Amino acid sequence: MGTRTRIVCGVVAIGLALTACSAGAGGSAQQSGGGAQGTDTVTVAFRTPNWILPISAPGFTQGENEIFSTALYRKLYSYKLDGSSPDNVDPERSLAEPPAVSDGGKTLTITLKDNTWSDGKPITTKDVQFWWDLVTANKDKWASYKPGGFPDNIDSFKVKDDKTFSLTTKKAYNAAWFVGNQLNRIVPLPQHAWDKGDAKKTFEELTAASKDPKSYATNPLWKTNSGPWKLQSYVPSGEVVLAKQDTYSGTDKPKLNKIVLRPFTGDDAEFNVLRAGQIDYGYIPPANLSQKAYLESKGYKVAPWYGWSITYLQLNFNNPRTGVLFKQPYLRQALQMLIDQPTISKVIWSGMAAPTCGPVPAKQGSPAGQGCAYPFDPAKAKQLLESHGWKVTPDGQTTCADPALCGEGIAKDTPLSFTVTSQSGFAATTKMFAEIKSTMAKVGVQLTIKEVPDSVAVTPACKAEESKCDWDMSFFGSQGSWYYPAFASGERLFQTDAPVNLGSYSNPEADELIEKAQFSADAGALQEYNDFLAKDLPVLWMPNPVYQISAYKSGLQGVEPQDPMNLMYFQDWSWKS
Amino acid sequence: MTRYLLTRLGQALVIVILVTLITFVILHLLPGGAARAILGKEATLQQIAAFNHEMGYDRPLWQQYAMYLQRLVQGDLGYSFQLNQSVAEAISQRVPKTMLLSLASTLLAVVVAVPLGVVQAVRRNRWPDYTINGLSLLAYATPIFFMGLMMIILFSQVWPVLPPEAPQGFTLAEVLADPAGLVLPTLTLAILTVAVYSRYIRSSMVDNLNENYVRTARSKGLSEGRVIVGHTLRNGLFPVITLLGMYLPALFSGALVVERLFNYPGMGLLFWQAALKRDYPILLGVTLLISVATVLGALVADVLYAAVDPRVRLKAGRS
Repeated sequence: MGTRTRIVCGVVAIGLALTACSAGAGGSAQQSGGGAQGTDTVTVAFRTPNWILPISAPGFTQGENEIFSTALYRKLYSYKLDGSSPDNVDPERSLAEPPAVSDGGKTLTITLKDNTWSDGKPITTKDVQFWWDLVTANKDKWASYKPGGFPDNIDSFKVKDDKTFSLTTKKAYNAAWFVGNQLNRIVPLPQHAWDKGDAKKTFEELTAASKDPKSYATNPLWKTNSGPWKLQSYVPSGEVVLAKQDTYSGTDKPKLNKIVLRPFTGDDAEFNVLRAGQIDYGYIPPANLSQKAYLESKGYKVAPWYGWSITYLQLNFNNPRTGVLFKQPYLRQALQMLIDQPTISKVIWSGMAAPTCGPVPAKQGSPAGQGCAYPFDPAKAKQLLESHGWKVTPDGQTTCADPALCGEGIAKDTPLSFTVTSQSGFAATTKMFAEIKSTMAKVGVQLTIKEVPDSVAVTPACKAEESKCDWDMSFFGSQGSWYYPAFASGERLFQTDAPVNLGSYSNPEADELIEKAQFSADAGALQEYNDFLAKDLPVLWMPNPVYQISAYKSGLQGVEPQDPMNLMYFQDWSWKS
Repeated sequence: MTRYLLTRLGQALVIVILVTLITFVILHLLPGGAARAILGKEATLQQIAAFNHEMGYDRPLWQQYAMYLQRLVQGDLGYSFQLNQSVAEAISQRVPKTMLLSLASTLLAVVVAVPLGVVQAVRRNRWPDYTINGLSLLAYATPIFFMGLMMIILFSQVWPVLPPEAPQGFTLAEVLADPAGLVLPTLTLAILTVAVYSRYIRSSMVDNLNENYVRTARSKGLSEGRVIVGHTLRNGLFPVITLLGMYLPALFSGALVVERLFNYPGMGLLFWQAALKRDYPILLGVTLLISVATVLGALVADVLYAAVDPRVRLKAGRS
């Protein structure tokens, strides 16, 4: 045999070996009446959760941890935003009846429904008390704790009997706010299985166990659940399998036996596997939206997942150079009028975004972009700038010509030029800012776009004298800037010195309206707050993208409606028979 | 030889310490703290302070570095807040997978590239040489993500014989139990390497074929096969040894693009994700491992040289 023949033989042999060992490995995508792993299992693209204790620790509040935790441990209250129930409480999934409010709005009496832990023991007020003791003794280690907030705002927690307890607040709150944004944190925990007597010591032990992910599936602590699922297997940074909890006491019993949560290293990897039909529920990365039709032809249903969210461009009111500009309402209005939200949503986001008009998210299905206070209008923006003493130079540099008109602290010849710190890795975001930059340039407003992997980390709330306060505008909304709990009030976003008020916006009138929405029983307070901030522009409102573009096998039922507060209820899912 | 080795090891240690120091300083000079990157926009000042205290980020830089070295000496690489895992555990979970992929692709590349390079050299400036040369250049010029994507589209969608992702097992045994999944990522990585190696071997073989010792061997009446395989190829392999030595760090650092594309969580991806989230302990741990691998790679290449080339041994022996 000559050299050439030997090489050819070798290549053929390798080829045959590859084909042989691959037989049956791929391409078995389409099965009727079931998914990639049969009729009782669903495979879901899902980041590996890395925190199991239902009391979240700072740094572990990611969505996947919340979903994972809710699958194993039911919260006291679940919510649905379809307007069908008072204070948005989901009567079926919640562990308790809606609270009875008394004492001028200060006392909430809560009655637990009859439910049991997976080991058959009843879920009682002891389990709520246990949770209460753990968080009050260790509040500095609880991610949801903000000084002055829950549980500091509670005067007393009283247990009446096995089924009833009450909370008395220090001030009278708007019940809708308190039920939606405070009671949502309560998760009854298995006191009989976890309590070591001392709240601090118990918490330490639970935290230590939660910091050991490789033992999640084997540690007996995590075997007493109240949720519809139990943990069957767990690989750190890898696959997680949830199995149906046979002793689940809720009415929303799981219809499938197993949920396989599979993490992906990136969007490309996930999409390739989705295209090959090897996962039953995944998502289309926005850059691949053009392949929607292909996926549909392969038997997937594509469903945008709308979030209870808003998206905005944060302005740094404390920036020593540009803060004085942002403090001028007319200037914020002019900038807002240069953002063509409807067109950007339709063209750049391919319809997978809708304009944000104010701080309260629009109800799903309401006409998008209608009624925004400052719709896209470059001519009006130009006029507004000129009437305030600016020399507008289209495609050049607009500068302040008359400081008396420009506003306090704005010197003559101050240019309108800003740097936007945006997110890298999102094609639509990059295109969106290219469009905004070009529109703004037409009235001489110069934008410099700086993309970084984590824009939140480099644009913190700051004081003017701090060196890190040199950022002008920050964008972190490629998947929505802010997701609300059930009640979309602004005490964390737009109140003076609020924790997530990164741009240090401050307006006494806004503060008053925010307080009112939080404390008064007036049902119109939230609307009033929304109307004021929609006009006052604490930020620039931007197109609000969907949370994700989900794609699931069309035989899978119960996936929709997808929860706008980003939870997933796998127990509702089933395969069409 | 022993003295030579000890000197080299000593130098290696100094280099590794310098690398950790430089990485440490550069990482901590990055704008935006780790706390905000990891805790997110909702973190309160108290939570940030508590995080910085727990991780030691509130101390002066030199103290942090001293603490790091102290822990390192005790074999503790630190804890990754981001992954909720110890760094050693995160690395040891990924290194075997990365090594498997890198070794498989390198092995495949060498097995294919050596004969290709030889054929090119022997048939130089004729059609086999031109064909292989053209294909090599094409492979070399193709971006790896594009190559991988083409592989996936061709072999798992158009002609669905292979899975579009690498094996998802946790342990090496589980990964090996699904060999089909390894084919596409291995091939993607190997094709590029084949292109590089075959070019080196061709040029080295061409040089050697013109040497006097080859003429002598032929004039002694040796068969062409023995001249090429027994004499020329052995000398022609030097560049490959150098390349393999330089390749050792890649065995540990992984191939980011292939790992991402084929859903194979290895070292490259670990490092990339840690960089995005300012996960300093992971970044330091991986850098340390790779710098050790780089230094060892150079050392191994030298030792291999000595094994293949008696002249190196002689020189080393004399010194």
